[in-house]
Amino acid sequence: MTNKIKTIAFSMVFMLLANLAYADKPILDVTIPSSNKGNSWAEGNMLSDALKRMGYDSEVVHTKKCVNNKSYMAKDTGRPAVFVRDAGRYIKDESRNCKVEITEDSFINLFYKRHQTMCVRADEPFTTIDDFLSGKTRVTVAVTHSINDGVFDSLLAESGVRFVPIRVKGSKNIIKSLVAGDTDLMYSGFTKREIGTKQINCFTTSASGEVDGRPAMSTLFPNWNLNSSGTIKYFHAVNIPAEQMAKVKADLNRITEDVKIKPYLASAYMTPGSAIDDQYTEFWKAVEIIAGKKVASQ
Amino acid sequence: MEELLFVVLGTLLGFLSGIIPGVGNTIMILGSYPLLKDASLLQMLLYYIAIISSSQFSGSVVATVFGVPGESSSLPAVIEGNRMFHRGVGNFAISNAALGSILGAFVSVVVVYSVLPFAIELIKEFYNNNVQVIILLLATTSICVLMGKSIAQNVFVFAIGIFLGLVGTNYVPNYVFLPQIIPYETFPLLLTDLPLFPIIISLYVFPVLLQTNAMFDGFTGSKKYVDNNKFIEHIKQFAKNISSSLRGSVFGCFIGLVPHIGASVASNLSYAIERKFLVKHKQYHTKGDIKTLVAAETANNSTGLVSMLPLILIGIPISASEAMLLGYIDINNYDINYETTVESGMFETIVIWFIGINTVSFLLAWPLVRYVNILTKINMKHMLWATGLALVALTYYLGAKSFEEVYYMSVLIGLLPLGYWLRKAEPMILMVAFILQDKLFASIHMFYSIHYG
Repeated sequence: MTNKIKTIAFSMVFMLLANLAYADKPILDVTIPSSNKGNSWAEGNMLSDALKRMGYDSEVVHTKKCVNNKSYMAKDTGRPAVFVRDAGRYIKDESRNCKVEITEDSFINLFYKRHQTMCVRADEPFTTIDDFLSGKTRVTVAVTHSINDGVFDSLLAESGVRFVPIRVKGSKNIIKSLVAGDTDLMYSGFTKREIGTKQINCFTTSASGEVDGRPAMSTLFPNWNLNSSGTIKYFHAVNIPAEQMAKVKADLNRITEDVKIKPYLASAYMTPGSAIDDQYTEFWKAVEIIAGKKVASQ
Repeated sequence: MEELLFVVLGTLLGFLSGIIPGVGNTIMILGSYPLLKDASLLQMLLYYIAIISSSQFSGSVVATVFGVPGESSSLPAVIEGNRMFHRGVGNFAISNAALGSILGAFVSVVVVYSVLPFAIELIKEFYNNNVQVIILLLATTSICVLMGKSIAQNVFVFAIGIFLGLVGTNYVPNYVFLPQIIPYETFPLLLTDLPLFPIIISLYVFPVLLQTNAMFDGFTGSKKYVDNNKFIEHIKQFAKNISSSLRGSVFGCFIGLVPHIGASVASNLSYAIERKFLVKHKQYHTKGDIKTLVAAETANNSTGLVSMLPLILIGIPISASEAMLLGYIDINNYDINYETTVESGMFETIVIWFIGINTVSFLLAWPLVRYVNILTKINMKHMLWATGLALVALTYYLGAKSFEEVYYMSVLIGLLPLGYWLRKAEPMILMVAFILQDKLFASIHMFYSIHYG
């Protein structure tokens, strides 16, 4: 009988301690306002796992779309969260009346900056961009569907060749279009996929210097306004109490050092947000370059 | 092991879809969304193959005994099979249709394996956006020309499907459709496009159920099915009809590739030609002819795997049920093309299962036939509307899962009047237009940009 009482008492104390330990954990969920298969889904899950490793109670909330994400933000769920958004997506959301404004309070910090790249088919006898363009008056370039109009306009004055953007849905399909011979070139984010696909040759990036033997776009097209523009992603706060914000900011600033996230960023030569000075200004600069103008929230 | 679960469920539900006239494969695939939403590409394809294969076996049983076609490809079974049933040899009609079906399935495997290497080589060498535009235009034109009663009506129905597909945000080209007219500010969810599921319920399921309901007006199933013959006698009977069966296989394999009408035309054309041949040689039995029935049923099943080739190799559906499946594949963000199916080795697994499914369906169908009389005790009209109500409940559940139940139900109810009108048209055309609109417009826009941009 005594043993039974001891066991029950021990279990109760253990459960109490376990609950206390759990209750002590700060909450920070990750909402994902996009499909469950692309980069955003993978990154959202990776971040949630990293937050758990940092001692947070973190769950993934799949809101799927901007509109749903916005209504989730308006709910009082009692669970603070973040979501990751890039400058291009922010512009797109604004233009589609799904306005989730960025303020100094909602902008936590930058996650990373990813370079853009330009590629040709691997079987193309490519030596230099000048040789490739020589004798041509027009080249077609596979780009993402959301790219702004007139993105290549200034390249005509610089190279004498008209770069015609061919809009394609999804980065996987951009590569497919180039490989199938629909387009002469492709212009997209410089990720593991672009680096690892053998049928394409990505010959330049928007980095400020050479990347693994690839010259900087700024040396190939010195006058192009987008020659150093990349994808810039930031963390957006969702119902984070003011008293928790400082800790969240500090933790998300060092999350790029996480055992899984650090190699992920390194594999595609991305610049961690923590390595960028004045992140808030840097983000708006990127928005302005992509949009070609200042946008509403700005 | 998980694949086995999808195959077993697909086979059982396929039997059910064949038994309930009007439900058909498309509606059965539609109702399977909760099962398919987290399935892998292989599981989805196996499930689909299991449904289309097993429904062929049960569909011809119901067509023969009740004289009601499950799908348009069952019409020869209704004409010849039902006449045979009424002169007391319905058991031979059913057994020979089943034997013909399994022979057709095996012949299609041989044909598919013979053409596959050439097809892939052609795709690798020549398949680009230009070819895709041509295929999509051919597929969409053929559906307007070959189906239904009037081309003008078909074009109108097709245009409605395209209009509904355009509502919301379009990606290629990237714009919001008619922002001045459609109240996106008041109903921001419209920006995220009209949801597929309620559209299918209102504009496909509802009119199809109305059409099928009308088929059962004045229906009485008084005559009972009896089979007093031994298995070997059925085989001997089939051996006499084997040449008709082989002719049906050839028709099925070729015509299976015609978009949207493959199984139906293969079955009916094979039936018509065989009938003409027999009439000419004075061998046609006017009170139910077994040879024409076998030719039609074999042709019907030999289209199965062949008609899936465009979907498996280049991701283009050529039937309504395939379009539905592609919708789910898109929702789950899978790529379907020769790289993900054939070069990944998945296709061999699919073929092995296809043979297994057809064999098991055949072996199951035969002993189950004797229980077909139970169906005469069931009120088929009630069965149809119960299916409809279950799908409405499923719509609510799916909407609630993404916090959009009000939106889903509003779309469903709002479109019901259009669905009611569609009972006199061909609702499948609207569905294909709605599902393919995105791909069609993106390809045409890309074509224009590449050549004239």
